[in-house]
Amino acid sequence: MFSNTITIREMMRKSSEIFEKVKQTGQPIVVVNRKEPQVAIIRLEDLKELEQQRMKNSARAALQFAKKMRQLLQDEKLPRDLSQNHDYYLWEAEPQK
Amino acid sequence: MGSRAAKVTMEANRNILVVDTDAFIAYVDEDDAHAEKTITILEACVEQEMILLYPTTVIVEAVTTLQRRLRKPFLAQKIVDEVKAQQFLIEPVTQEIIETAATLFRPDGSKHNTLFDAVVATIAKKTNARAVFSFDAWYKTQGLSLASDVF
Repeated sequence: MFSNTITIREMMRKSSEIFEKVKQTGQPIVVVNRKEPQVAIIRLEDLKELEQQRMKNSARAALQFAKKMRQLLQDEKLPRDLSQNHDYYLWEAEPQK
Repeated sequence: MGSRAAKVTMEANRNILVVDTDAFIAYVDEDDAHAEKTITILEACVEQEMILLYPTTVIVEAVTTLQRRLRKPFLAQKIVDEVKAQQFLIEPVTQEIIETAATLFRPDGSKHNTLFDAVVATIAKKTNARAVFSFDAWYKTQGLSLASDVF
């Protein structure tokens, strides 16, 4: 599954060496506990790149979410003005005219 | 963790949209009055690689509204699970945001413009967002643009 893995115990024992290896090679290392992957150690520049990608991908994520949710809620009968008058439906205030 | 928006440059911030509760609700219901326009805006956002930020309060308000109206309330949990899975960019509502929002909040004015809206406006101003993804014209009175006017 992951090529570079270490146990938590190894991580504790050789942390400086492991950080240096990741920085030098750029290869992420996955920390496992009882053979289950827990977290990955990656270079800061790779983390920044991932963050940028996540930001750029945020509209696509929203579109996917919308399509999936619309399918999930297709049998629900929500008020047509729920978005516009959500205050009313949540707090039972006066609906907007 | 600091503000996500603070990590991008001012120029890049012009790609930011701050999503409000009404748009979020229109995401999920295809029969909503704003459903079609919402998808059109989202498609334009994908094309232009816009960054969509969600104030914490928007997620809470939208999910709670939906929870109250859904015939099957367990679907609210599904919505929360999917929000987590999609890893939306959630903007924390800090004390500083609340303090600034309180200066925009006029409870003696319209009952429809709440502290929730003031929080959205504050985050949009703070991040120099291109627009607020909402259909509420109140944001224009705060000097902000609406996504529906931009796309």
